[in-house]
Amino acid sequence: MKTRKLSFLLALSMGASLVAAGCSSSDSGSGNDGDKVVLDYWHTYGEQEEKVLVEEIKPAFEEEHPDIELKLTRMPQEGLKQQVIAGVAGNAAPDIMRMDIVWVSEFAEMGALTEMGEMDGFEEVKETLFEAPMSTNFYDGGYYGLPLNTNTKIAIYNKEVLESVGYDEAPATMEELEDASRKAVEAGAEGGISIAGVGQTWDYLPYFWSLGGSLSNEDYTKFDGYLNSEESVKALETIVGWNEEGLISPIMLGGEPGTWEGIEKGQYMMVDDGPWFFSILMNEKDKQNPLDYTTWAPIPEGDGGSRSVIGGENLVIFENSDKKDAAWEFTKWMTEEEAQKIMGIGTGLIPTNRTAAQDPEFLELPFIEQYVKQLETALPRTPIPQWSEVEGEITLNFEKVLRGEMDPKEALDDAAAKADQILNQ
Amino acid sequence: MKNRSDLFWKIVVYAILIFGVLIFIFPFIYMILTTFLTSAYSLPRPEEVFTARPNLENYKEVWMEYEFYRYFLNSLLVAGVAMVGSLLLGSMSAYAFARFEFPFKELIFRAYLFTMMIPLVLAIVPQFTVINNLGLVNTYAGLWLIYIGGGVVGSTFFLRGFFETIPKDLEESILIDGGGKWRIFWNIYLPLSKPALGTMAIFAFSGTWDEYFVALTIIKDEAMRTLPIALMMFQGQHASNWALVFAASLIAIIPVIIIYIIFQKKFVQSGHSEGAVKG
Repeated sequence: MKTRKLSFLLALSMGASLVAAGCSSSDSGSGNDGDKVVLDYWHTYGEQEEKVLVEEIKPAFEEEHPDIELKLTRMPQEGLKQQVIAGVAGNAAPDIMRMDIVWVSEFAEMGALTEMGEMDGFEEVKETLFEAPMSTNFYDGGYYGLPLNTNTKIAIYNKEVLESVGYDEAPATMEELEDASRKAVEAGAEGGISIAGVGQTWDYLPYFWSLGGSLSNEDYTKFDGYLNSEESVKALETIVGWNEEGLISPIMLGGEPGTWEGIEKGQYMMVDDGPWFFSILMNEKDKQNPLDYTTWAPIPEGDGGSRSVIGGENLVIFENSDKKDAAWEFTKWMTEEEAQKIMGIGTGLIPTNRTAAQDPEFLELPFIEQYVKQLETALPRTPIPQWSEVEGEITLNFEKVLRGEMDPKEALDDAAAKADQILNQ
Repeated sequence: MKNRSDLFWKIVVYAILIFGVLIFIFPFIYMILTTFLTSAYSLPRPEEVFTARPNLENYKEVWMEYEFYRYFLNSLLVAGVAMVGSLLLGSMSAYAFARFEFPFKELIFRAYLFTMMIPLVLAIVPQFTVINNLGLVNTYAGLWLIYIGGGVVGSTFFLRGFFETIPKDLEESILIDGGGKWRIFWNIYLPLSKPALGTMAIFAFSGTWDEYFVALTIIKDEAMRTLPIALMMFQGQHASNWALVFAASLIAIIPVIIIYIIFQKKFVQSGHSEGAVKG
């Protein structure tokens, strides 16, 4: 009896599997809808942002281009790079993708992306976009994408803590920042300057650069003599000094609280973050409005000026797409004023289109002005295909220095030598 | 006197065990309590967590608004079929390896084992290329091919050893009644291996239920995605709402717990064949 029950169950589930397999394979055939060109678009927008994309951008574009249909797929961040690599290798990449600016040269080197210089109207489009984000698409003499949105980080202070140490305005220089942090920590704050971590250059570059440090020469061909220059060593030593004095928040080396919590509760005096700090927290019910308890300003000036780091995403077209013309139409359209304004106003993502970034309605977002201002002096991370490998070396040594296991000069010499070696392979 | 010291040691042992349970279960309880908060972009502090009022709002939001029911059913179908498939094929090939003689048997078995040693990430591009050439990208059939193909190896390895402990003499009773190899497999080996099959079922189910990377590579349609992918979508680029992440995670582990409860009775039992044959 029992065995019969078991075999019945097995047979049932095998049957179910066959039916399901039949269903799913018939579903997959839906590619072209009449004469329409269907563009497969992978993106990693957040939830709020995806809403704007689906409800405003897609209808607007499809109305203007009735022959093109957008197929939007939101991809998770986790393991995304391997996904794209598998897609490229298996000839199943999407037509278009919104990808992190630091990936473009790496995929361009792989031969996965379409060079856009030859596309119809490229030069005119390029003129309308900001130079620094545009430069992140450059690889080996050509442009492999268009900048879609840009961002950077500014300094955000807990207003009350800052005022309690005698600063009515945000510190303008690194000396003032140091002084304010010292006073805040002496008065009981758990941290002054919150470098959010040491796991990626994005976390600490604003301080390293503003204090006078540099990564490579201007052509991005040499790290030795720049990453380990006297100024770079001095910059790192200053950060180490802050850490030893207890001015840097525990979050840097993995402690608690996190930056957002620390700033909200007044445990930290200052954090640095992108515009999403405001746009996400302002949309939270039952939470204090971050505009009420913070003051924000560009990264304080040091020997290197006020240098933040540029982030953002570019739109790229994959080389094995067979709909390049339509894909270019969409890519171009996304960087035009209208689409850039919709995205900017709807999400707080900073437009790369010069006119859209100056749009009064966009600038009305209370926090945006300082970000746009910071972008004038912000720097991109070295746009080379080997960047993620180089970043790994630099970051490893940075962490060793901050954990007291390595001397700053020795660490930077070592990282510069390894970086040059990776570059010249 | 003796009873007293027995009792004393019993209390000590139980105290240690209860203490251990508390330590292990604490993060889990913390996680459950976090799901009662409305928004938690930074991980909440203990005082917030322990004053949270139990409610199911986050679960409702995850289930309905984020369409978790759909991913849940997708996953159930994917993991269920993969479990049955890899168990069935695995037990049949284990039977063959345990009881049949054929050329290159050990060599083939080693080749089987060898595939277990290749890390998934290395194999993903060739696997994807094969699935793509078969035209099975974006179908569950493609996913099952990889899952069952991978699962069969593990269950073959595990079950072969188990089958070899079953006395051959038992087969004779079937042979006398005129049954063949299939009968032997179906009426002797499978029923006697329930503990091993139960264990493999747990592994096979939870292995594919949690699987993220292959599923994301093969399935391109958002509507066909499985639970682990949907779970990952809660992790934002810049910040994650932990209350929702935890609510979603809890929903995702319920079936694993159920499967475990169903099969755990079999988990530690040894075979049923002891004493079946007179020495």
